Amino acid sequence: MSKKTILPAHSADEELPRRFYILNAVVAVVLMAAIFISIYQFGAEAWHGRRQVALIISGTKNQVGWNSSHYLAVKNVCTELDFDLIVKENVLPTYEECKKAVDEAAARGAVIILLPNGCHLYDLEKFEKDYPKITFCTIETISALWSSGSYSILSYEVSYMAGILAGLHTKTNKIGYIAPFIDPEINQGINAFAIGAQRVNPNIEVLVNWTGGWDKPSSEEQAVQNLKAEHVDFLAYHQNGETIPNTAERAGIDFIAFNEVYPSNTRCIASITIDWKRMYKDLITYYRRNNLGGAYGFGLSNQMVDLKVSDRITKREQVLLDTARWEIENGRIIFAGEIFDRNGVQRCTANESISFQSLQKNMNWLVRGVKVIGN
Amino acid sequence: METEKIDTGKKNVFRFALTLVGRFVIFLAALTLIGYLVLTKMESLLQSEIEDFVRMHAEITAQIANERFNGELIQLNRQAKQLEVGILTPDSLISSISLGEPGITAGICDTSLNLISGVVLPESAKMQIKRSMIGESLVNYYEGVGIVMSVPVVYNGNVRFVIYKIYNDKLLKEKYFHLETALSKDIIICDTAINKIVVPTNDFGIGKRFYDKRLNLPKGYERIIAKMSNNNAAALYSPSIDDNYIIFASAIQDSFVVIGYVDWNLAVGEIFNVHRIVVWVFFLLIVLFGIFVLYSFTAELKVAESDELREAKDEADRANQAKSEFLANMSHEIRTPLNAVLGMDEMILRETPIDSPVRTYAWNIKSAGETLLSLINDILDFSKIESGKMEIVDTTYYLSSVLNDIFNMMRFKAEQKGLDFKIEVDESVPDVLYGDEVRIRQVIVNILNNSVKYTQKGSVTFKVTWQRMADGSAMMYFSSIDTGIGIKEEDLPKLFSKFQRLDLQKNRTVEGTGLGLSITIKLVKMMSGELKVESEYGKGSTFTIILPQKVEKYEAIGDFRTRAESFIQQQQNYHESFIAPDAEILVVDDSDMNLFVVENLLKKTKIQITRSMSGKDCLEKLAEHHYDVVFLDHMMPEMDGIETLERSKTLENSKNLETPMIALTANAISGVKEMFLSKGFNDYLSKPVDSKALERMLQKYLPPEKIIATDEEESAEEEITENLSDGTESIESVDVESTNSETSPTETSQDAAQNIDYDLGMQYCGGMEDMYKEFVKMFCDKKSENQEKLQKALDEDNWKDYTTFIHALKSGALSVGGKVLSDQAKALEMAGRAYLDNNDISQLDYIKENHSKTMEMYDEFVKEAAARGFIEADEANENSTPKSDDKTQNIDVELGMQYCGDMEDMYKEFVKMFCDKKSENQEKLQKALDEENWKDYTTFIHALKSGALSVGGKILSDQAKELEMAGHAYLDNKDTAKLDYIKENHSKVMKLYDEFVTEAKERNLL
Repeated sequence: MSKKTILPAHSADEELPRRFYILNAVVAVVLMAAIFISIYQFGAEAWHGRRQVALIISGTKNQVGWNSSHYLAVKNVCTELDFDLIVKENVLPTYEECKKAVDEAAARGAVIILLPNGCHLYDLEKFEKDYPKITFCTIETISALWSSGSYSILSYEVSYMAGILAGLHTKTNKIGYIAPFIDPEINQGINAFAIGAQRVNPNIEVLVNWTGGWDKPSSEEQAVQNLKAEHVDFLAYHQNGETIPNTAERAGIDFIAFNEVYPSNTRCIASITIDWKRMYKDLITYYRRNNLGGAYGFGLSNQMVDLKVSDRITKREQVLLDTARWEIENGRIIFAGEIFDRNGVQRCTANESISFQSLQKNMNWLVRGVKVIGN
Repeated sequence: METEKIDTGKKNVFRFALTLVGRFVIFLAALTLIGYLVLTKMESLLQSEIEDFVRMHAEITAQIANERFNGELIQLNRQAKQLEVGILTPDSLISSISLGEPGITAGICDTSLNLISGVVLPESAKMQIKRSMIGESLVNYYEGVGIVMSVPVVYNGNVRFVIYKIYNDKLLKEKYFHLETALSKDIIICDTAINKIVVPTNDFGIGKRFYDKRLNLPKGYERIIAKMSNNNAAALYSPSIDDNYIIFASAIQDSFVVIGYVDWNLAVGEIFNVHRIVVWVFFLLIVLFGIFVLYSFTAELKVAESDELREAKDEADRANQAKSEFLANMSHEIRTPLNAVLGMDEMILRETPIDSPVRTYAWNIKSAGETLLSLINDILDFSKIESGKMEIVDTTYYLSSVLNDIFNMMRFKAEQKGLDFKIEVDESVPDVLYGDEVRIRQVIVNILNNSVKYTQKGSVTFKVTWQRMADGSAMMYFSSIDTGIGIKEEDLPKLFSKFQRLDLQKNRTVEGTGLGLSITIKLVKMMSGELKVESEYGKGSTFTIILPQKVEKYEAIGDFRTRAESFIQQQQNYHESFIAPDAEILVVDDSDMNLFVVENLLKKTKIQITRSMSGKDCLEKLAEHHYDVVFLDHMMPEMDGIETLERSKTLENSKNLETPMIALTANAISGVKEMFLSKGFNDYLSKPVDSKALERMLQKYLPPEKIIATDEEESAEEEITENLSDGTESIESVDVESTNSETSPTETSQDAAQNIDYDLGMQYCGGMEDMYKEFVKMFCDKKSENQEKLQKALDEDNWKDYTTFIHALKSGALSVGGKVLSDQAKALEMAGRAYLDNNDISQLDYIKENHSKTMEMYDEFVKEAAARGFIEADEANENSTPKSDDKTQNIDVELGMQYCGDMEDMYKEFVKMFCDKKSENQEKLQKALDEENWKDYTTFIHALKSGALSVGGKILSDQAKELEMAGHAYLDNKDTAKLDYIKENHSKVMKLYDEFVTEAKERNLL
């Protein structure tokens, strides 16, 4: 047996310089990396810090309907456009409540504050004075040019189409409409809905039931029952939440949903959808372009609002809906020609059309053929 | 091998250079990359800043354009309002809008698009009019139509009419809505909805700088519009669009965009100087860094070089070491054959008749050999000085001895050249000095040699003077004054340079290395002295060595010249100074020739020489036989001299443990003597062996009783004696001889001078009375010892020892003129030999009968020596009677007084102090002895030795000195035998101390 002597790979004399070279190489690599990072990072966007968007909503962000749809849309846009999101939940659209939420959001560095539940014009002016560097955006029914942005959802064109569908679909010639209260924006929807229905079905009767607020589940449920009692077999609504779709399904009434799609609801014939994400993306992009300000109206013409139908509609209904869409896109004015309110007062003559400003500001009336049955 | 080394060296240099270049390139590449990135980044930032600036300009431009359009709309709205309230009719409204401006037309229609007044609505603008019907004021462009502005006419919130105003293309091209700013004169308005130019510049079109023929749009249109996707306004600099211009755009109205071009230099302005400065400074920094890198590489190179230098130095050191070894070897190798040559030559000189021509050849050989030896010595000395190994070893020496040697040597040389050699020594020069005798001798010989060499006729005078210094030392002046060729003044500075020989043409026949004076000046400086030269070219030179020397004893040297010259008379011819037929020596050398030389050099001393040619053989001989002295060669194959010595010390059956061992070697480099002594040799003799040095060495180490001083007659007598076959004849012949001696007593002898033949003694001492007295004193001093040894041998019937001792007495007595005693002793020796050789017991009776008579004669000799003043009376008494009986022997008052400058009071004080310290000193010594602390013991005994001498306690001092020597021998060489000696003799010395004190009291010295 011969013994093998295993010599160390490196003697102690060689080990020290070897370690020294390795250390030098590591230091050189780190230094080079530091130099490259410095060169690329100085002046980069990251150095300005991430900006923040605050969303103030009246309910919770997970509340299906208005609040969750706004929350999800804003969240996605913030992620896409590299903003942080601050969410203030359960804030009622009163000055005190909003003020508290705005102060907190401002303290956390928000550069844009979104108020999708609406805010009184004068309150917004106060906030603007308190925080001149912050841009406020709210859903405002009154079109006004001010420094901050107000945005309106011009859903009446789609409501007109919904009315056509309702007029075609009803068997009882009684269609219902559930809404919170009298408001030009809400009235635009009811009136357009009625005009549309009347256009295809002159015998139609539109029954309106007020609930008293955007989130009134019991009133909404009651309203459905009320309308059913009036033999309404088709309804539309302008409310937050899922009460009406659920109740309508239970009550066996076909309906057109608002701001949500209910594919599994057997009574949902169509949905008025609003592309909030696209809308917020436009708003925040305007902010980034440094030209956010004034009033923005989002409607069918810019594909923000649409009517999505289910496969339960008939071919005839579909054809007539397509025709209506074509007309609108080619200049059909919903509120033009002779229009009377339900009190018989003529609101528009045959050679006139109601201006947008008038719609936003003065439409506190309902067209002939609309009957209010509750509250 | 050498070629391989050179190749490896070249490869190393190439690899090193490659590494440096590689690193430099990496550094440069890294720097360039960083520079490039920084530059790119800076340009990008600068461009971004400029684009931002131009973008802001675009926004302002757009604002201006917007205001122009809005102004038109406001005016149209105002006119619509006038229609609403009835101030204007539709017709008058149309007139007020167009105002007769060619290219502007207007019209008014109802909600069913029916024309009310003015021009017919273009088909393409109908959708715009419908949008205005819900209340919007709009501006749009239609190709082939121009810009169409439409505003609603509202009655109570309801739109009843729409007014439209048309600006046709021709008008737009010529002047309407044209814009110019300070930075840009070429502003174009386009419609992004249809990608058409709305408002061109006056001459916009083919051949113009900013016209894109392919798209019929402004150059860079697509890219700037794409850039606007995230912003309302944008600016872009791209050489692919235009090298010198920055394109900008900003949105106005719904789909219009204002596009313009700004001169790059105008936009950048002075900011670009920042860019220039940064680029330039960075470039300079790279250059600076490059220089720094080069510098650091150079430094690294230097470090590498210094590493190489260090290696080279190590290499040089090794080479130097090799040189030393080479010199040592060379020394040995040259000296060994030279030894043979000179030894043989010496033999030839001795054995060749004076008148033989062979003798002349032999003299020439001797002369050349000695010159060669001198050259080797010079080179070795210089080598030692150069390497710093030359040491100055100060010892006490007799100047007279040194001068004597020098005189002998130089006188001979001078006379050979026919020069007159004179010596002049100041009689007051102190004789006993403290310094390096060897080197002093060397430097003096050097300057004298020089003088002899360079003097063709006339004389060389050696002059010694001195000067007493304030501190008691002496400043010695050794001058060599010649009548030689002298030295030119301009050559004087070159005088002490090594290998420098002056006036070569004239001196070409003079032998020498040119190292002599260089060595001399260096040695003189090492001894804190100086060398002065005075010379007159053609007349002669005076070299003076001035050396400070400590004076050990102020004994004037006296009339040296006379003494020296008389001594020389005695040394005219060589003769052996002694014979030692009973002495046996062992000479060990691997060279047969060397052994032969030694044998022949000692031929006439009759010493019995045993040859040995190896260490191994030597050890065998040492085990077999006792030798009186062993000469051991250093350099021998297999077992060298040192190893042989070491083995001999541990040899179990050695009969030579106490035998003096003398190193015999050709190795003459620095420190060799010390090396040999430290290895246990008793002494050292360098080759070529000098016959006198050899004899001196033997006289020193042979047992005195075996040395017989002799002259030619004696040796002749010895020869005769040896040739006789029996002792009787021998005795007779002695008688005859002694009778002859007695018939010729010196006239100067005093009364009853029967025992001492002064003249005979003086003959043996070369006519030097001092030496004679010294011999007599020694002979008398040894009396007790000799008598004791003889008595002991007699008592023990040890006839061999007795014969040896009585032989020594015979020789010793003869050398001091004790012819009678010598004869008597000789008779006893013959009797002893007769018994030893032939076992003739009758001879023993003769010895026993005559021994005491002989001893008495010895006593008488001593007494007579004292009576005739050869020795002190005290000494005579001391030697004639046992010590214990003489109470006044321990203190030599005269000696003590000398040490005290003849001041009695001081002397007595010293004695008192010495006696008072007795107990303390004895206790310290006893303690050190008990504890076997030999270092302390040696120190204490040394103090006792010195103290005793200073108060005249010569005997005590001598005894203490013996103990001290033994102590040193043990401490230096671990010779444990010496410890036994100390233990045996310590109490004896203490007893002497006691006796000293007792005597001091009795003689009233306390």
